[in-house]
Amino acid sequence: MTLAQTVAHPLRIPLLRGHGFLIVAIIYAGLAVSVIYPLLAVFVQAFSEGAGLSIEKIQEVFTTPNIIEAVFNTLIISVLTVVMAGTIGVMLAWLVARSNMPLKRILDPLNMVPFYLSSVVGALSWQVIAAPRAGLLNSLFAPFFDTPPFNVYSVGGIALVLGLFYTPYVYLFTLGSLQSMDASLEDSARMSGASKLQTAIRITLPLSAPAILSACILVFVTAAGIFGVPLVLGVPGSVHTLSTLIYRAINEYPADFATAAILSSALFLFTAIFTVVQIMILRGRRFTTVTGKGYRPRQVDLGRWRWPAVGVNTLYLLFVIGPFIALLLVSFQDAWTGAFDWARLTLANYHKVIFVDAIAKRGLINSLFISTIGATIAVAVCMLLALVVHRTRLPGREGLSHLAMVPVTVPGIVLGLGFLIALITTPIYGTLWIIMIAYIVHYLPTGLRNSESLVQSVSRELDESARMSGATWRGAMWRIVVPLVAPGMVSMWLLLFVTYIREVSSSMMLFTFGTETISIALIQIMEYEPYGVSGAFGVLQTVLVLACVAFIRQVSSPRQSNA
Amino acid sequence: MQGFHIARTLLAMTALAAAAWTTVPSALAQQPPALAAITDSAERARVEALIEGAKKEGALSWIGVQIEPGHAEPIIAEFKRYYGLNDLKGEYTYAATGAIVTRVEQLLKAKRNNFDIVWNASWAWYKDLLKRGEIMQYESPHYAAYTLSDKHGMSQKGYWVADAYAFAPVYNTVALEKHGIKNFNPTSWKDFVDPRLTGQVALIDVLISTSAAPVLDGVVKVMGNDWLTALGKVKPTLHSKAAQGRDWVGSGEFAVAMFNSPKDALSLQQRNLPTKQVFPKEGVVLIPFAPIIPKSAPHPNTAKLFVDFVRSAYGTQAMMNAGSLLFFGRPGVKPKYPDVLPSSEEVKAIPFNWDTEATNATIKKFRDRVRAVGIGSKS
Repeated sequence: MTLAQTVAHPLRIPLLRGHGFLIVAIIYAGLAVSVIYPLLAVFVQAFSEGAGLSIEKIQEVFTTPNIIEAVFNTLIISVLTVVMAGTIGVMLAWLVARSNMPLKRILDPLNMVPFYLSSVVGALSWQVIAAPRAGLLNSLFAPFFDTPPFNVYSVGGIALVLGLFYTPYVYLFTLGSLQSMDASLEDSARMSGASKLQTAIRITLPLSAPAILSACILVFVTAAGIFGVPLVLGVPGSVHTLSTLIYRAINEYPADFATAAILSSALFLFTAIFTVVQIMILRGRRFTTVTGKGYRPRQVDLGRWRWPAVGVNTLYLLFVIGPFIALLLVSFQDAWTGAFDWARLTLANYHKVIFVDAIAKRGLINSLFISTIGATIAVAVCMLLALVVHRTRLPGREGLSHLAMVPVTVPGIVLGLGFLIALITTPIYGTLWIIMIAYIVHYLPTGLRNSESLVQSVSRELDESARMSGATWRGAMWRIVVPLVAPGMVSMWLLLFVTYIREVSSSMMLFTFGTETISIALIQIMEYEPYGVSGAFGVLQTVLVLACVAFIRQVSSPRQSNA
Repeated sequence: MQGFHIARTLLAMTALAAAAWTTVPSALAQQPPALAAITDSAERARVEALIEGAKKEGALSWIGVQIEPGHAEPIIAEFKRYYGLNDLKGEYTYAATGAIVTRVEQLLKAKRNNFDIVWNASWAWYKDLLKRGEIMQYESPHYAAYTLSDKHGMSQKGYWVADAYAFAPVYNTVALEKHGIKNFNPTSWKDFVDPRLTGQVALIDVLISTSAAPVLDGVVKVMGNDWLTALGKVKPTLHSKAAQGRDWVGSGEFAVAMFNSPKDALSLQQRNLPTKQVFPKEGVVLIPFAPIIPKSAPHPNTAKLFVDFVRSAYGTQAMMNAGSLLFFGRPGVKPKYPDVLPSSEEVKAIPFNWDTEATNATIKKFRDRVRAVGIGSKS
């Protein structure tokens, strides 16, 4: 065998030689147990009640009026969320990427802030300002309206909060696409007489359509399965979604696992269909936005609309950050009466959260443990998978990538229920590890996509050169590829860390006393403490996450620049 | 000579007193207050054995509703002092009624129960646990004094005696005035279905809550079906947890919260909010609230001692003083906040049979009646 042939077969390494099939089989088995088995457990539970198949139960569930209503609510909330997040996200991305809007350097990172914030805390904040009667906004507008104009305890309220918090997803996807777009297409349109607006609508946006569509379907699927926000804002107004009904079925007495499993299966199918649609749409269309020409896309001159554009972007940030400021005010009040009252100023809420409520401390410690260890394991697993898929020729390696993407279609609450049903009688139940594994599995697609991009961004020539110089496969990966993608791995770790800290859907099913996460602790505290105490905990949670993000960015930035 | 004798006698007495001063208190200090209060030798031996067992176990894990973490802490501290268990690690977990049922059930299913005491208000669940043999049989000697618990049918011989809490309306006088309702001085459940209150009433979600549904059912039994119809007409907004109702009425979001406990009413009063609670003249449904010991309790001796403590006259008063606003199942507990909480002897209880009137079937049937009058539907 020549040297070139050795390089052409990167799998042929001493460690793996002859064991390729076995290695792939082991990875398949691991993924099957962690991804497929919990889903199967849900399906089996849904279709069997007692000994046999229970079609009657399924019929009964889907003819129940409040379940039908919940299905519609879920659909409407998801659509409204997509419309809102899509509109704002695309608009902001275009303003930042393709216009000469002032203050872009400040606004760009600020537009990503909602990504780091917990939507549950966001929901709590919106309660403060848009509760039908005692909300700040309603108090403000009370003299002008007969009935309160805002009601956050509604389908619209839930969609508003979700839309605001999922805007960064669309923003990020679209921004990347717009920034890497070939401007010559737009130039051609302009030269052909199209106005700036016509060019933006007819050329720029269609070219970004795959990215926008991808983001929108991700938002749709996530919104359909989200649990925390509908719990906080939906339940008080009797607005139920599939996720809150699944939770209710498990939490009523006696627990109705069959209904929960049937609803979970329906929710899974609901989200899976949309994901498949996404894949089909993207497969059928080819868009070339990056042509390889090395110039920056041209900036559109907004003229007199430059500062109004800043106003629009600021308004979005105000909608996100404003309620948090209101929550901050509430956290310093001994009671909330709809307006800030200096006579009610207190630090007692913070004292209670920090020194009295053991669950708050426990939630904080547990979340830091799960997020730190979990994100580290996830990065390692995802990198390994990406290397196996893209840097080996093991048989069936492409299938690993597809299998690992399955959780993208599974809402967190469904996955949590699957893990609960599958693992309740094992020693792992009741530990932090079950929650950690659920998180890793749930966000495996996010980690894997990132890892694949990182690995693919490193030219094969580099590790192949190392192999030609006598390095083993493992040595080439460890010494060449991994150091090159290390900054990206740090970013990925941070992404997963923040995602795990905010997560609530799967842990809501899996926590037990002593294994509460920070978001569960917040929901538990809201069960009995006044707004002020919940607000104080929400503020602390937000500050903690932002501090962690800032710290990790600070720590990792020199390494990034070196790289 | 006589002077010397007197001096010697005085010296001897002083020495004796000094000896007594140093030895007697140390002997007394070694004896926990609980043992000092026991005169019966057999009972003393029993408690001593439990204390010894508890010392070896070294921990107590307790989960409950109603008693908030800030109130549980002094109860555990007092328990440790009372039995001389200074090194005991006491841990309290507060959770909602439904959450306790769900999580403890899951722990039992996983054979991973780590609670010594479960203190919940879920009668049907307790009965199921009893049927399944999941509750440890234990008849504390203090159960005999729980005559009010027996009278209201809240005791289970050999397993538990209960205290109770009750839901009663809380209203915000400022919010009412804002809506043009002045001098609202309710005395009856009837006053809370006044048409002027339409859109101003918050009601705990009786379509979900397993404790609130029987309570409303009990009130309807006394007030009649017309009252339920009238309640439907004021279009109450349902909320999932009592704390939500408390915060809504406190902030003025709603002028009336139909079902809140005295604990919630006190919390509002202590924060100087313009709210009042009324116990209607027709009575309230007492919700049984009892500590049980799971059969799988990891620290059974400590659990039994703890049950002894919280069922004793001393312990119940300590609980009341710590802020547990309950209707205790034994007479003689002095309310700490008499203007918020009537005594157990004074409160008018609506007769309610938890065995027959709070089954899943009866609750389901009642919920259908509630839906029929429009409660729970959006309008």
